[in-house]
Amino acid sequence: MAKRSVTPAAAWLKQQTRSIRLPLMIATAAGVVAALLFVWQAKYLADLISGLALGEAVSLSVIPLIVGLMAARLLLLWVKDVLGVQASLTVRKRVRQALLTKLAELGPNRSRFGSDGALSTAVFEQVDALDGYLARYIPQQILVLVIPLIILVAVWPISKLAVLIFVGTAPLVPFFMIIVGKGASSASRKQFKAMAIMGGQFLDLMRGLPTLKLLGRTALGRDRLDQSAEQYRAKTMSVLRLAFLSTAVLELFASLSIALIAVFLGIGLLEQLPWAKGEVPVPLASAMFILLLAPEFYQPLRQLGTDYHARAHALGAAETLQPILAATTVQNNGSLAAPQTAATIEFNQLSWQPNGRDVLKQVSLTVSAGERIALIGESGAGKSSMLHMLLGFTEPTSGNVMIAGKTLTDYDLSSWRQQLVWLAQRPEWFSGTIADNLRIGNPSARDDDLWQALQQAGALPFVRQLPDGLASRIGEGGIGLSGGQLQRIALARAVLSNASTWLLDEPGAHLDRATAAELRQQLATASAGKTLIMATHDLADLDWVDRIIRVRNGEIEEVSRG
Amino acid sequence: MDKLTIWKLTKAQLGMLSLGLLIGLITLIAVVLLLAASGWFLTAAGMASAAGAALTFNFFSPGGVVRMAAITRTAGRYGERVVSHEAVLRLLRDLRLWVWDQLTPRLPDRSGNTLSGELLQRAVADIDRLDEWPLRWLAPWFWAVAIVCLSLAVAQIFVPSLVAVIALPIVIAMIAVPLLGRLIGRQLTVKEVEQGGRRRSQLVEALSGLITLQVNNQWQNRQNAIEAEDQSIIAAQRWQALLISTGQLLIGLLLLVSFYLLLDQGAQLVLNEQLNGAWLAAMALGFLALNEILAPLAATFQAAGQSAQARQRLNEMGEIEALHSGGQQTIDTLDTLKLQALTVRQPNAMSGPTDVNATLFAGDKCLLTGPSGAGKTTLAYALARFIPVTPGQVLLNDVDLTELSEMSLRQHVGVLEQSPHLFNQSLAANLRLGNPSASDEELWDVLKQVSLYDWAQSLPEQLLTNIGEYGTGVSGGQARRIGLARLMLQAPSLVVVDEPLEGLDGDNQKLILDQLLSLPAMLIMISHHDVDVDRFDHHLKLDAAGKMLQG
Repeated sequence: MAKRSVTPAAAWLKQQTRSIRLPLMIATAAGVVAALLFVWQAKYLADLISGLALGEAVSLSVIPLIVGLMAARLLLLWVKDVLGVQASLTVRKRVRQALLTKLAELGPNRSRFGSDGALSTAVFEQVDALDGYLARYIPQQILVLVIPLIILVAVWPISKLAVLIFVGTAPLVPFFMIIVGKGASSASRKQFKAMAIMGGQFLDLMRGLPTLKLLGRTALGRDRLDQSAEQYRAKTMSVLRLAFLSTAVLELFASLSIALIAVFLGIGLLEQLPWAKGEVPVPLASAMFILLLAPEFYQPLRQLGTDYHARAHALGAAETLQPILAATTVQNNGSLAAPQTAATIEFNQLSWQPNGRDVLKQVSLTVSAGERIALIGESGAGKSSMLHMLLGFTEPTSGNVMIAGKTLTDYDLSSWRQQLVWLAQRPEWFSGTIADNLRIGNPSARDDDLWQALQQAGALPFVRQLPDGLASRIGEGGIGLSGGQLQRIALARAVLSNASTWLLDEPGAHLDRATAAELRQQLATASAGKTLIMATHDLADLDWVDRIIRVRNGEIEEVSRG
Repeated sequence: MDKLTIWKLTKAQLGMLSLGLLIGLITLIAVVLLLAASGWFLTAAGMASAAGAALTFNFFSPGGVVRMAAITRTAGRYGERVVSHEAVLRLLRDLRLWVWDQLTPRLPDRSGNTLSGELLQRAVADIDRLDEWPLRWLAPWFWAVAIVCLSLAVAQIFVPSLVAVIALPIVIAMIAVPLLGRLIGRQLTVKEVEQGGRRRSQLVEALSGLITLQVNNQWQNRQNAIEAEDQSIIAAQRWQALLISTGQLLIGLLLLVSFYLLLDQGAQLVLNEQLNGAWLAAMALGFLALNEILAPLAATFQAAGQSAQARQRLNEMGEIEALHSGGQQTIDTLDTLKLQALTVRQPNAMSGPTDVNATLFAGDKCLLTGPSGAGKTTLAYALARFIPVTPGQVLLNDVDLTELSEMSLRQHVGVLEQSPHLFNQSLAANLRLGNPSASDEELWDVLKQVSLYDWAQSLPEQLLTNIGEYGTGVSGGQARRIGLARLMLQAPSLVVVDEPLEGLDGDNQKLILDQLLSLPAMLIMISHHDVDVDRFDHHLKLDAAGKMLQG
């Protein structure tokens, strides 16, 4: 095969097969043994037919043997299938687990690999797209070389002519593999792309349907859908017409080799071959044997043509999966238990330059235990990045974060994270009851504690009004709570968790003025005594914070007392 | 509801599908014939040679049949693939348009939402599954039944005594194996799909709350739960794969039973000189080709299950209640808009606009304010007839909103959503949705009015630059202004704008407000920004529960 530059995705894909080498080797071996059994069986069958036809003495007891060998071959092929599937499932499960773990480690940084919806497609559908490659392609890659060789070896002593026909119709098996492979892979790549574009357009039109409706232009949308489907059809067909040609070439040689063998050996049996008049170069039994083997000579190659689509499919998926799995995340080797009470937090000459971009530049900032500060600045100034540093999801390029005088990396990350409260711009909630949502902060909390936390968060009035109270379900099929209400539930969860350090990223940014102001006041009361760092671009109602720090272009610009 | 049935799927592309099936059938006949004829020819030649009749044997016609079969097989395979893929792609187009036609009268739903991204993705996957149905279900069955019937018919002519013996195992293989697969496999397909949906929503939810879960040491539990769900799906997938492989094995073994009977009985006949050895060779070789034709049946139950589920789910979309499609009334110019004791509720909402009364005249500007959750957007959707009014009335020139024709409604009432959708097309194409016949000058003109002229000039291809999801990044504020420009091109007599100032800086806020107030149309502007109430003729104020405080 031609040497190709190996992309990281292709290398990764190959690497995945390492752990399943044994089952795949057994599967391949089963395929090889099945081919040997086929040859063996063909020999008996050819002898039987020829013996019967020529009226020679034949024993019919060979029939059960023939059928038995064929059955054994089917069983081996079954074993090969099952092992392939099993191996593929093993790898898919492992890759999926690795992805989940990686996504958890990436935390907020996962967004650079796509939306959560796209990531879930990667975790499920894209991982499943590896199936055909893992289960079938790899064994077939070997079988396509071995099986024709076995057949050539079996035919060699009987008829050089037949070998010539086989080798002649398949001038170079590897050559054809490349043709088939290149054709199939470029065709399926083009097709995937066209398919993705059309799928994207369908989604785009569907999402915009209300907008089209408001504009009274749904008919235009339908026309576009119609046209794009038509274009897709035309484009795909022109690709497929070419791609099928490579398969047709294989089909032609497969048919041709059978036909040539039948005709040449038949004419040979009639002693009419121009170069061997009056003699029978290959007797009937041997001729029949070769004819039986002929379809099997090309079968693995035809199968590989089909499986090549599976490889292209898997490669496409690997191009999405490999970068996620290769992303660097914070490696936590710390073992210290985090302090259980509010501690001093220090940014020490901290810089962060992902991909050469200066996001944080030499940031130095000390937040004393129990101090509450606001980080203000434009979006993109680096406020959120500072919070992500504290959460331990991002490793600084230089400098460090110190907690109670020790670098963050000295601590056991999960023990540190348990000392944190996180409130985001969009309140995080989970389908389940209100009580379930609150107990995420503290699984052992009693109902009384929950009510108390709700009161501190200003959520008591509306939760009381709900017919099911704490047992009201939120999420799909549950009650609809407004953004402000959900944010207060999140605040109650924070109160309940007893964590010492609060990190807030623009909480309430999308709420209206009055609700946001109210939320700020509740925050002020609920977070008394905690260390608190809040990123915000809204300067209103900040009288309760100890300091206001302006961040601009990754630098701390000014500090003012609140 | 226009139900999607198997017949409907087939009917639309009946011609193409039949052609594909026919070419495929001819190809498969050639496959069997090539082997059978080759076997016959070799054996007959061998026999002639042994009998000393080699020189008188006519080898031209059997040789011709062999060559013909070889060429037909090659050309047929190619033709069948091209034609059946053509049919599938046409079916794909039909299906997409069908889904579009089903959803157009039904979306957005009563909460003002279009289908969630997940449902849409699922719809796309379902469509893809359905369009493969002819290849994965119809074709294997058609070919298997046709070839088996043909082969048995031919055998009936030459060796009637063998047909009854060999037919039984073949028929069992064809009927019992796929049926068994269907019975055992049905639950697996259903389970896989159900659990698959659950697994996905679990993951999406866990990801959206990732940090909270981690700081509360709960992520691992969630991950374990997802992996447990995955484990059980993997088990179902393993069973399904096993079922297909075993089905293929069983079909193969049953065919071997037939093959055994064929050889055994056939050999007896040859020994008794009731059958020519060449015909036995032809039958044996032809029979070997059958396995390849019957084996795909083992996977058809899965294809059938998946297509049934895909159909069911697509049909479920039709169960979304259709929106009010309006009446026949039309109006020429909009002189008055009356909201009378208007109450609107989104499903499951605890509050919403309640008992709203107002009368607006042509050119009136109205400000609608209220805390979040009061239902300002709900009110805008009610005016767009996306959510029904219960009770109360909206009257345009004394014509009830529900009586107005769809055309007239869209012509007179323009609504700018909070986040208007920009299509993945050029800026010009997006703007021209407002007015397809607008000239480039007119487009530049409205862009100037929403102060996007400089921005549009700076785009790499200006008006022809692709915007939207895959195109040049457009901020929320810009998207809203493009939406506004589109609305200005549409020029309705009533303009309803939802938070048009959100995401704009001070200067642009002032500019956009000036533009809105100078529109010749009646205006209802929803805002939570501090705008100068005095510049409006009316101020509708809702309280937190949606009750009207001030009109």
